[in-house]
Amino acid sequence: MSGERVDRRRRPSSARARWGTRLRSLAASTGLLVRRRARRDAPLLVGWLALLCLAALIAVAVPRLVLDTVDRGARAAVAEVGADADLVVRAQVGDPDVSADYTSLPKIADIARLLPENLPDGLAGVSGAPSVSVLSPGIRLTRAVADPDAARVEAQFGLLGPDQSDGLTIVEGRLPAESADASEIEVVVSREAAEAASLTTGTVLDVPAPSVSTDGSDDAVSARVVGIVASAQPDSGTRCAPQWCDLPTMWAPDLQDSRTRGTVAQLTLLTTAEGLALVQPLSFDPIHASVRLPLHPERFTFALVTTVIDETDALEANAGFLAAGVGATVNVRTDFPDAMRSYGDRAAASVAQMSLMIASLFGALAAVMLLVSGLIVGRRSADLALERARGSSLGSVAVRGLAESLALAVFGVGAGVAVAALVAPGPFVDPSPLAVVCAIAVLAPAVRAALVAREAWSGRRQPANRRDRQLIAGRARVRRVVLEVTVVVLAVASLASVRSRGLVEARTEGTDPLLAASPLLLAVALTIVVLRLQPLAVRVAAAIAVRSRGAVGVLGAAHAMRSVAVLPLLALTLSVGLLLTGSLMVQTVREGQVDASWQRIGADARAEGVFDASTAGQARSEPGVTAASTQLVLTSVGVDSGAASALATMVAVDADFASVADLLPAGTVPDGSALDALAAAPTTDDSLPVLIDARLATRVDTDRLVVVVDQDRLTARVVGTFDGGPDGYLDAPFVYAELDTLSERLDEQLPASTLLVMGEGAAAAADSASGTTEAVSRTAWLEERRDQPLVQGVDRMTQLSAAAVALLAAIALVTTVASGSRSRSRSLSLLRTLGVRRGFGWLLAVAELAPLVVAALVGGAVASAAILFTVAPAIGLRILAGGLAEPALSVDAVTVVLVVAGGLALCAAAIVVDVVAHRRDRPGDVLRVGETT
Amino acid sequence: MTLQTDAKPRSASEFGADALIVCDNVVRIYQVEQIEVQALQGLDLLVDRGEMIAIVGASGSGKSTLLNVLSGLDVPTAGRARVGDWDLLRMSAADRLAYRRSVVGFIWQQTSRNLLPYLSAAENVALPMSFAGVRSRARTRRTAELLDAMGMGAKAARRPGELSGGEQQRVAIAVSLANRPQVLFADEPTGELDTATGADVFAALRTANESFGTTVVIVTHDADVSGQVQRTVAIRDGRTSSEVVRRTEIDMWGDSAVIAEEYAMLDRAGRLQLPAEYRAALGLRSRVRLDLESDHVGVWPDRAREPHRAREVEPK
Repeated sequence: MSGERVDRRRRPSSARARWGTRLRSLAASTGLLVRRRARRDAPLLVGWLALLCLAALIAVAVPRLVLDTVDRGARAAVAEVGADADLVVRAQVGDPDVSADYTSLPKIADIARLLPENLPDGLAGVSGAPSVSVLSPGIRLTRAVADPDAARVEAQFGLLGPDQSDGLTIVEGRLPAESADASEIEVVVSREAAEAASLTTGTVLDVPAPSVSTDGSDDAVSARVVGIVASAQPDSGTRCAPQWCDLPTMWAPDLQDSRTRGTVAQLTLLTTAEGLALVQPLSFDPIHASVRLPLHPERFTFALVTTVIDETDALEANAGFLAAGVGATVNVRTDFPDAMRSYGDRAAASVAQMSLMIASLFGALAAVMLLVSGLIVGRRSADLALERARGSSLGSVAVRGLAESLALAVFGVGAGVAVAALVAPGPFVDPSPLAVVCAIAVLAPAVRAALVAREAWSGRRQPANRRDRQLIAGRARVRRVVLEVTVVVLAVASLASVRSRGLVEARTEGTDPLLAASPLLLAVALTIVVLRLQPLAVRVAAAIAVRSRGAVGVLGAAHAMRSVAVLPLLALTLSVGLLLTGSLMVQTVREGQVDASWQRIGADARAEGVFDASTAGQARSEPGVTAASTQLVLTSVGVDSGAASALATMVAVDADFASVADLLPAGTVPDGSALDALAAAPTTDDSLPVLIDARLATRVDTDRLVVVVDQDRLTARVVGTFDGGPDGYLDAPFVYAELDTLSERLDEQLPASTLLVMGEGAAAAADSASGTTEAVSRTAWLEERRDQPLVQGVDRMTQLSAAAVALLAAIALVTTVASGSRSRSRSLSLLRTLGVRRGFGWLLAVAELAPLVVAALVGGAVASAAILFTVAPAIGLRILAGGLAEPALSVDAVTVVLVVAGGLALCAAAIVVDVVAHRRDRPGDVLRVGETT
Repeated sequence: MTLQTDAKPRSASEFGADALIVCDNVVRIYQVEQIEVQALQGLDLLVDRGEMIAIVGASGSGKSTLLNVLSGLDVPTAGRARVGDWDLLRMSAADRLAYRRSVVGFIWQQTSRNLLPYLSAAENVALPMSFAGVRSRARTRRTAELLDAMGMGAKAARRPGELSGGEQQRVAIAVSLANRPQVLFADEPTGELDTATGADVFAALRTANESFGTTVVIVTHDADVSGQVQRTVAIRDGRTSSEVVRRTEIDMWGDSAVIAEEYAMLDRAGRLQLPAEYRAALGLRSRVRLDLESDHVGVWPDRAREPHRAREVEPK
């Protein structure tokens, strides 16, 4: 029986049978082979599962962390705006016959009731219950019983509605009741107002009627204080309680001294709707009603911020539908859009910085996944070659690979997602990273297995002609060069593009693709360049090594000359690049924050208030204070030189200012020589010696300068110019003068308005200084700045990315060591038969790994430098630092040394693991069997 | 599928028209960087159906390359190579797969390379049938048949690690016969085995040849093995250099004796390789003189150089 006949006989007859055969062939022994192979390779597959778990965790958690950062930032930003962010629907209450815009109190109640239903979706989700406030114009009242010692009263009548009644505590008397007497309004007043205006229960205040009342009558009414009340919480934390926000003098009466009228207490009297109805005719101006919708910061996300900005913009343009069904004219006021628009820039800056790290992290992750899958498949290459020789199709190899990788991906990725749910709970923000991880997890082992199987018996025919073979090899070389050049050009182009366009296109709800691609492309490009250059460097080192005595140099050089693989180099380059870029970027921001703190505070502590000449001396005597100075800041001072004039901020400093200035960083105050010139300037003539801002000096004639302080025109004599100045908290340009000289010229002893204190005890000294109304310290500013969610988010992302990438680098190194361990073990066994010591294995491992690690360190450092110097200026580091200009890049040698030492330590650890794992190898066994696992 | 029959029918005058395996002036050149190695330099070989031949040669003579080419694992650079109806130079990837599945089987020298270590003997034997899409019942039947034929039926459930080297090779032969191949190629099948075990393996190969009708081509250094086949082809410098043909003769008293005759190979271009010992004995060097006689060709040393060493070489 011939083989051909046998083949023909076995050939399936029908198409259906042929398909059946093909399917059986494709799925041949999949279960059996996958199961048995997995059992044999269990330790490797457990490692693969752990890597998949880590990858899924990173893929799920990182986008969540980014979103969480911008969401927390949004909540903090909304909270910072406080009550100003509230949506206030305003209407005027009055006689509709007077103006069609006027409405009635019942309609205001209706608007408040219907408001939640009429709100757009975004606002409805973030706003609380509306509260109604009604407040009359200010009316001067007179006491029925004169009290010359008491302050005069200028009151606004507010509605004691349900919102106000809740939470009021009656301190004395009772709440206003409905009164049949149309000439008397019962009111309650806060304890604070009562004390300020000397009001008690029973006090009657006459409300003068206008010369012609709005309804034509001239009946006067009076207000009787029937109760004194208190509120447990007029303010809730950093913002006012919604029901009191629009009654500003209810709990904080304003006392004003007037030369003509004496002390006037501006306060609020609460009354009933009937009482307000009596007040209404007494003023030409309408009563203002506000329906305030408090916005709850904790309900915000970044996406909602954008939505709410759009909705409030629309409402401010057209608020009519908020009163739909009521028939009233309303308008809307809120500071939310203006205050929150800047948050978009800050969020974009933080996302941009995180994107740089995330892209490198995902790049390293992908490279390590490919590397480990390659190790697994590499260990099976002999099996795959045998399967192929026994008639397995590539499809069949791929099917088995897919079956195994799919099962592993389900477990590994599932575990990662579960861990992510525990450590970083939240919604699926961006499924694409997880999809990529799943794709690599499922496809990489299968595709690599198919490639290995294909390469095992490629069946490619080579031309007989040498020239044709060279032509083919030449074409392959050209293809490789073109590909490499394309990647390098793409990397350069992406860097240039990101640098030129800045954050304009950066997305805050995810990772900006171009920004993310830049570090990846750069790392790939550098990997290519390093792969090209590394052999040259190794060759030089090897040439020196082979001259050494003994076998160490020759064998070490031979191992080092082996080419470095792409994937380990890419993974390690990305890891080193990320570690350096992330740490240096965070460090740059932190140092930028320190610089910004000097710009924003102007000293270790700054107090605003009214200070006399002794304040600085007293502050200096406080513990921990090294220098203190007071100064008078006069804003919008005219600087006139005849043909040109400008407005400037005048800073009149005391004699101690130079001691403070000596301790301040350059650029925040005039330099020492300019201050010396000011101090040494003669004050014998009438002119005022001044230092002027260099920017101002270019705009005015410094020879004939007049400084206009209030109404006084002082001839100024410019004794010097300076760059910089305290423009972090004052408006430039600046004019500096001596406070004493200025006082002399104005014939008035001017008090200082600002106290600058230096030293560890500065904050306490500024707080306790006599005359301080407000004090700020640099440490508090820095603390507040660093506690901002966006800054913390970038810090947190940097730390997590650094930890993750260090782990990935360790995996990459261990994988690389494991990949070469078989051949190294064989080499070592062979060498030991020639008399080489067992310890020579260390040298072989070092010789193999050293070129990779050194190349990765160099490549990563170059990548980091390229990113920092080209991209960093475009990603808004200034916004997170809080300074006036982009912070200077901070390259700390300690950080670089730590990263390099970390890389070498990881390398050493990987070698130790390998050497320990093979310490029991017996040369005879290794050489006889071939290779050990 | 690139069968020669698809292209054009073979003419009776074609070189090796009736042979199962035909190598006609096969060249295989390897090139690594700038180094070029000519492993096969115009090799000719014919193997008929049902033959059991051995290929011998020094290391680096090209015999393993030839085996890889014939196995469909490698492709010749030039020449013509055919196994059955399959043109080995024109096969597509799919053809190559079908060829490996149904036309050829292999055994390698390293016992561990022939079998998947995590499968039992029976599972290893069933695997190629699985890849060919054979139904489960047929696989089981064929597996049992093959293992029994190789004397391994009792150890069907054992894994390779639990078998001796010879047993592994016998299972490997069963594996290679699983899909009823026309040819079985064995590369040093007894290279790692002692003489007794090697004899068992050779017996298994003979079983494959005689019981299953499979043509067997063995590459070997083992003189015991090469001495037991019908024909031994020697390869030198990438060419077939000589052949030893054995036949059994029974004399008038009924005693049998194996008669081995060695032939030098004359290729299609008329090139002839003289054995080295012949050249040395007669001092034949770069140039010789040929004389055509009525029944033979005379090969004479160059008279101008060594006139007194002339001898006549008669064809055997």
